[in-house]
Amino acid sequence: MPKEVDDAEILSKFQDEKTRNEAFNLLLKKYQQKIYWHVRRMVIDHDDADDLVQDVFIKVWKNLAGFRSDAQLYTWMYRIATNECITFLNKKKQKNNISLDDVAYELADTLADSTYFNGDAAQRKLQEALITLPEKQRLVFNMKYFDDMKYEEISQVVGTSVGALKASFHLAVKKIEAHLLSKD
Amino acid sequence: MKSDMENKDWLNDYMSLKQVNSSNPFTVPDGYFNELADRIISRKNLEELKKDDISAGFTVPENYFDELSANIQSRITIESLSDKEDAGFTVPEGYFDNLHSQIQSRIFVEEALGETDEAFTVPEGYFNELSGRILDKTVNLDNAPSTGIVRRLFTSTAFKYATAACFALAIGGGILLNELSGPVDAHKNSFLHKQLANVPIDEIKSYLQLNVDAGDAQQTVVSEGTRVDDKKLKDALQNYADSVQ
Repeated sequence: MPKEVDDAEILSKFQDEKTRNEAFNLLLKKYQQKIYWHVRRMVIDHDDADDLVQDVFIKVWKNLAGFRSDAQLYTWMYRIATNECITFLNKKKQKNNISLDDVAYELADTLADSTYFNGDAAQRKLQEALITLPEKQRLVFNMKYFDDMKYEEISQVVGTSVGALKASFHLAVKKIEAHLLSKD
Repeated sequence: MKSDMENKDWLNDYMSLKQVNSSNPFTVPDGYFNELADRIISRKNLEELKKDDISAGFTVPENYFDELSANIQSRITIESLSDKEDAGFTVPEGYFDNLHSQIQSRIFVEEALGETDEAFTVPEGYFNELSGRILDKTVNLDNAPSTGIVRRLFTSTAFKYATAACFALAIGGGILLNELSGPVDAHKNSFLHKQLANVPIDEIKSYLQLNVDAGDAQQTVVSEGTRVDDKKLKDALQNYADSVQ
């Protein structure tokens, strides 16, 4: 298994005009799947996720020269991806003039129709529970539960204090637990 | 060292959630991630091209952009001048001060004229029928049943005079016939008149002086309306004629 390239090395190569494309290739290979799954869990549909991932990396390419190394590279990219997801979901709401609940119904339909979902009944139920949550609670839960991110890292992504994130997370977990215990 | 929270020990409080398989249930098409990087690179290159070549192959005349700002400035100046209200025209002094009162006066005059017109009246329903009647005499005339064409055959002045002369002759003839059909004419056409016409006037005078006295003449004049006995007169004249021969 090839050794994962260090973020500092990627950033260093990106600063040099000659090695900029190489640096971007390395960054893509290191983070494309993480970013994809982060986006996919938010928008559910593979094609939507595919479009958004490309948009995210185009933005990364355009703005990476101005990236300050006091933040972690992947939390910075997660932040871009998160903003893209929220913008996408808001556009969907405005386009169809529907409420948050209606968005949840739409996402549930997308999940039900999705070819690219091979989870069991419990996993499907968990996703159905997640879809009903507010976007911020979903974000926190996904990053904590699936990506094992620390609250400090999540805080850098969503721009919220650690305390507020913990509260959001516990709220989300309680709702999910209640949903899992409920009968269909 | 990770905290309990970060070690997922928190799941012990949520047994239902703990039983759910925490692996990723979503999948992607086969080879998706092998191609994803290439597609993102291609898209990035397109973005680069878009950034570098903003004209996208289009060209402009030489020095176009150097002159563009001056051209726009000139256009703005012209537009601002043309937008001015007076546009170089002037009006007599105090024109706009008096304009309102002049318009009011004109309105009063127009209204007064309008009222005069309205003082006339027409029969009730006149205008309702007017258009119909005009149409009957114009447009609908073509649709009316044809009664044949009447034409004047003689329209000259000579014909008029000839017609008048004919009427005069006819009237004159009528009067003449009326005259001829009277008792005098009857007498003139009678046998007695024809016989007397052959007798010289002197002989008639001498006969009358010989045979008629004053009493006869008086009686004759007095009884002018009495009917003459033609037979006796005829016989007398015959005797006179025979005696003369």
